[in-house]
Amino acid sequence: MAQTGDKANGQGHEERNGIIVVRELHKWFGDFHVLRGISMEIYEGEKMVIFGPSGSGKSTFIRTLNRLEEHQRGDIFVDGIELSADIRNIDAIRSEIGMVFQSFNLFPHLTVIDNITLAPMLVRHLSKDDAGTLAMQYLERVGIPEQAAKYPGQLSGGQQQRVAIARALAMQPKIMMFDEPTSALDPEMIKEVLDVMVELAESGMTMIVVTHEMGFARQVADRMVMFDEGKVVEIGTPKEVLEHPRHERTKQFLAQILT
Amino acid sequence: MADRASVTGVADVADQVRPPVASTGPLGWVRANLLDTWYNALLTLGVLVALYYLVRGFGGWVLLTAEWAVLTQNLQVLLVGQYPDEEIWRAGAVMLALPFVLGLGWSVWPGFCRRLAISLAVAAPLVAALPVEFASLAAGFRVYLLLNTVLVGAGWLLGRSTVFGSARSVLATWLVLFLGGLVFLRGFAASEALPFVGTKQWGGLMVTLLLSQAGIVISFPLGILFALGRRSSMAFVRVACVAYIEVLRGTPILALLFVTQVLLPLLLPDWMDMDRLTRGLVALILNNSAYMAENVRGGLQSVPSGQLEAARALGMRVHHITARIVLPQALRNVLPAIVGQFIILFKDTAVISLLGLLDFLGTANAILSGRQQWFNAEIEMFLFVAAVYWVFTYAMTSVSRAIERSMSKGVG
Repeated sequence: MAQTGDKANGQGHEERNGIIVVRELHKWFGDFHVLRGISMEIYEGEKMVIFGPSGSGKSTFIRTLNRLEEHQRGDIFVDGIELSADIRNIDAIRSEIGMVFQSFNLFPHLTVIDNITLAPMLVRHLSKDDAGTLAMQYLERVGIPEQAAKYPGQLSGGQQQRVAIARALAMQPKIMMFDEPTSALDPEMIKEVLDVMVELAESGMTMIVVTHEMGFARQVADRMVMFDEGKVVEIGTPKEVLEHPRHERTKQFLAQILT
Repeated sequence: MADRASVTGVADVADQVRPPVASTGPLGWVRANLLDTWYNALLTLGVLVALYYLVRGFGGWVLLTAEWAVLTQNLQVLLVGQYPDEEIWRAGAVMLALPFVLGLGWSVWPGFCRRLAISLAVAAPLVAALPVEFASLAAGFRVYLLLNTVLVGAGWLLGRSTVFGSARSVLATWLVLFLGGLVFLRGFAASEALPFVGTKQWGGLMVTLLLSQAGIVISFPLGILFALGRRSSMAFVRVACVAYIEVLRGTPILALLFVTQVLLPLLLPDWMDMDRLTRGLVALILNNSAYMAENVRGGLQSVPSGQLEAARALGMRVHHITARIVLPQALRNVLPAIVGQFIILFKDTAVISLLGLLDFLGTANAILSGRQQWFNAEIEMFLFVAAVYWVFTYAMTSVSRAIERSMSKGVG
C-alpha cells in the first residue's frame, strides 16, 4: 500500500502544477473569522489528508473549494478555472470535484441506482441506458451491485456511504473530496468505507480527505495538513507530521486523538 | 457435550412456544378489549343496547318511513342540473371519464386505484338493480350505470398494455378528458352537433366535481409556485408571494367570492369576460392556492440542507434540484396536509350556491324549495347529499393513506 502512495507522489513531482491552487483564502461567518489566510497547492494524483480540532475550519475549507461555502477574500483555482461568482465557472468546477459527506446525503426518495444516474443524466446528458451501465460499474467497484434496486433507507450506514462514493464517482470527477466520511458510521462499518477509499487512492485519483482516521492517513496520504483556528499549522508527509510534529499545537492534538 | 445439548434443547423449546390461546384470535380480542374489567363489560353492554336501538330505529326509517321519491324523481337534476334533456348524453359521456380513468389506473396503482375501480364497478350495477323507479331516466339510467362498469373494464384492459400503463399517461389521459370534457359540455354557438350550453344550465354533482377538479389542477401548481417564491432570493418575488399568501389566507372565502363576482368584470378586459361559475372558481383557487402554498412551504422546510448540498456538489442546476430533489421530498412529507386541502376544496365548492349557482348542495336546496311536494323531504335529501360527499372524501383519504404506506416502504 505504501508503495502506491509513493508512486502517486512521484507522479505529482513530475508535473508539479497544482490542480487546486488556493491563495490567501479568507472567510467569515458573520463576525467569526473562520478561515484566516489559507494558501495551499494540491497536485494532480495527490492524496491530502486534512485534520484538526472541530471548529478549526477544515470542513469549511474544502466546502469553499466547490462553492458550497462562498469565500470573501483570496483566490481559488481548480484545474486552471478561477472560482468566482460566475455560475459557469462554478458549474465547471463542480463537475471536476466529487464530494462525499459525513451524513451521506443520499436522496431518500430515489433508489440506489437512480441516486447514481440522476446527475450524469441531468448534467452530463447521458442517456438512461448509458448512465445505468456507468452506475452499475461504480456500484461494482464499491462492492454492492446487488443493492441497486433498494432505497437508501434499506441500507446500512457503510453501504450508504459506499453508494455516495459511487454517486460522486459516476460524474467522473478529477478530484474527490471527503468530509469526515466515516464519522457518522458505526465502528464495524468504518473499514468497508476506508477500503473503498484506499482502492480509489491506488487508482491515482486526486483526493482531499478530512478525517481523523490516522491509520488511513498513514497508509494513503502523500501529505497531511493540520488546521487550527482557521490556519494551516503544519503541513508535511505523514511521517513528518505524525512522527516528528514540529508545532506544539500539533503534538497536543495528536496526543489527544492517538491515545 | 451434555451442556451443549441442553442449551440447544432450550433454544428449540423457546422457538416452539406459542402465545396462550386465549390472548389471540377474535375471542382473545373481545376478552382483552371489551370485557377486561367489570366496568368495561358494562360499557360494552350499554353500547350494544344503544347500537341496537339506533340501527333498528334508523334502519326502520330508511326502509319503511323515508320517502326516497325525492331522490329518484330528481336524480337527473341532482346529477347534472338543468342541462337540457336533448343534450343530456354529453353530460353523461363526460362523467364517464371517471370510471375510465380509474380503470386505466388499476394496474398502475394496484393498491388504491384498483380498490376504487372495483368498488365503482361493483356499486354501479347494484344501484342499477335497486327495486325503485327512476322516474326521469328510467331504463336508460340503469343502462348508463352499467356503462360505468363497462368503462372500468375498458380502462383496465387498455391500462394493461404497456403504452397507457404508466402513471404519467394515466394523469395525462385524465387531464385531456377533463379539459376536453369542459369544451364538450359547453359546445359551440354555431354547431349543429354540439350546440352551446352555457354554464348557467350546468348544475348538480357534475358542477361540484368539475369545480373541484379544476380547483385542484390549478391551485396545486400555483401553491407550489407561491411556496417556492416565498423562499426566493429575489426580494420582490418574495414580498409579492408573502403578500399574496397572507392576504388571501386572511380573507374569508365568502368575501373572496363576492369580490371576484363584482371586481373581476371591472378589472378584466372585455374579451376575458368570465361567466359566474368561472368567477366562483377563481375565488376558490385564490383561497386554496394560498393555503396550499403554506402546506408546501412546510414540506420545503422539512428537506434537510444536506440534500441541496449533495445535489449542488454533483453540479445540478437550481431548477433540476428543485424539481428532482427538493419538491418530491417536500411534497411527500406533507402529503396528508395536501390531500386534506384537496378535501377542503371539494367541500368548499358548496359556497358557490350562495351566488345562486347550482352545485350539488345548491341543486339539492333548489329541489327542496322548488315544489311543495318535496318540502318535507329534507332529511332524505340531505342524508343523500352527505353520503355522496362522504363517499368522495373517503375515497380521497384512502388514496392519501395508500400513497403514504407505499412511500414509507421506500424510505424505510
